[in-house]
Amino acid sequence: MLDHDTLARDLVAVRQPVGQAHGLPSSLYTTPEALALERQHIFHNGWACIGFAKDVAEQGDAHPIDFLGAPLLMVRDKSDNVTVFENVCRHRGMILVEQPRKFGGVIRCPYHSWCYSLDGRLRATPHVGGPGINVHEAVDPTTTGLTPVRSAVWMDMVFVNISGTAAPFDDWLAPLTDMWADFAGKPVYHGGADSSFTLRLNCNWKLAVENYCESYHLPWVHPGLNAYSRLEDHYHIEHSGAFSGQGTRVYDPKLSEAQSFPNFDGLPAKWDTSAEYVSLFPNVMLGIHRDHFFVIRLEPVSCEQTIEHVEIYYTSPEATGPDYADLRTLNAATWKSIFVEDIAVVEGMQRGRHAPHFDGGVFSAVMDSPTHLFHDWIASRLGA
Amino acid sequence: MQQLHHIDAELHRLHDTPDPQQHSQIHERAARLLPDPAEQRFHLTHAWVYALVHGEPTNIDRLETTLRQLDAL
Ligand code: FES
Ligand SMILES: [Fe+2]
Repeated sequence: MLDHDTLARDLVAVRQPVGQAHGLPSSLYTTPEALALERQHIFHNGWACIGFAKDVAEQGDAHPIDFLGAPLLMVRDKSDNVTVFENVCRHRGMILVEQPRKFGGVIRCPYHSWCYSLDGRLRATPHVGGPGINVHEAVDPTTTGLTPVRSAVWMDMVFVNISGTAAPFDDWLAPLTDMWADFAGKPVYHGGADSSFTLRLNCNWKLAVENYCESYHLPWVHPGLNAYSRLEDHYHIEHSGAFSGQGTRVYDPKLSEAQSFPNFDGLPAKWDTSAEYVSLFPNVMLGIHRDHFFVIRLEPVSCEQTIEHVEIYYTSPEATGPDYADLRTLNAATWKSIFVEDIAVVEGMQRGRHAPHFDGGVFSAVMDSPTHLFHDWIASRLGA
Repeated sequence: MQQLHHIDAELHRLHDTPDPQQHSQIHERAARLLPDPAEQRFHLTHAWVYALVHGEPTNIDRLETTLRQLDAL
């Protein structure tokens, strides 16, 4: 049970300076009502990532998505625009598209065959005026098209704002695009089937973000990284209200003696040895390097289950071709083994959240500030 | 009559494996065999919907012109 008065009090404690703050209360990790609250205040009222433009690679491709229970449809239209609609017919509310597929012409509703063009216009209303009469004054096609959902694409990620009330996308993203201005305008190329995998976690989605934000756990949970990337080689990345994470000053991938991926063109020298790992709130975790980029999109399935959708991108079409296939496979396997190492701790923290007297925990003022910044953001979005 | 039975059977068969172009053509053939304008409108409506699904502009235009002439659009 989520007690709203207790929650409000607990959230005030979260918003204290990191040295005095408590973490978010356990009710936000263990009760279905909490996810319903987050669905509205965090996922629907702001911008959140629902998928990838590569999943509608060609004109006419459509990809249905269940976004925390909201049926959405991602479409690439005949002008190559990726748009998002509610996946529901304006007539009697039938779901329009059940499986990813390609449309040569219109999208036909399987119920009474009303048809929509890929840009959402209502194109046909068969028998609407009686058998063989296909127009009726009561149904105005200009106001009865598919319901568009506010959406934007950045670095292949498709973001939506369901409420339509969030800040303009570019403004919302500006702190991160400013920080990563060195990568502005550089396209990314998905590595293909070998660069895509999912992980199922028995934990609340927020624990995945919290764990990703900080470097404190690296020497303990990822001892393999110690060899070349020590704790002191990392720095915090913090932008209140938007994102947090960590960077390393010693990025030096040695997947193979013989081959390395091509770098993005024209990067400043900083990126020769730096890489950055950022949780863009709420639900994407990004890793940027001079030679590849990855996204982990979090899909909350329930308050105690989350799917991580991992997609790896490269710097040129060449790097996605057959010459680099083995190296891409190795890169994906390397990242997967690191992400798998995190599963035990995020699932352990989930079970810990059922301890009756756990108060959300305390933070190291030195090591945990990126995590606290995320908790503070959640608390502010929930109204504290 | 024989031909119409044949078309009915074909439409039944197509219901499970929808090829919109074929669907469209069969309904158009049915419309041609029927003398009653109401029945023609009905089948041409289906021919039009499947032409839209198939996405071939010339057929769509042609069917829309015919439907307008029959006061169906
Ligand atoms: S519900 Fe879609 S056409 Fe009736
Ligand atoms: Fe980790």
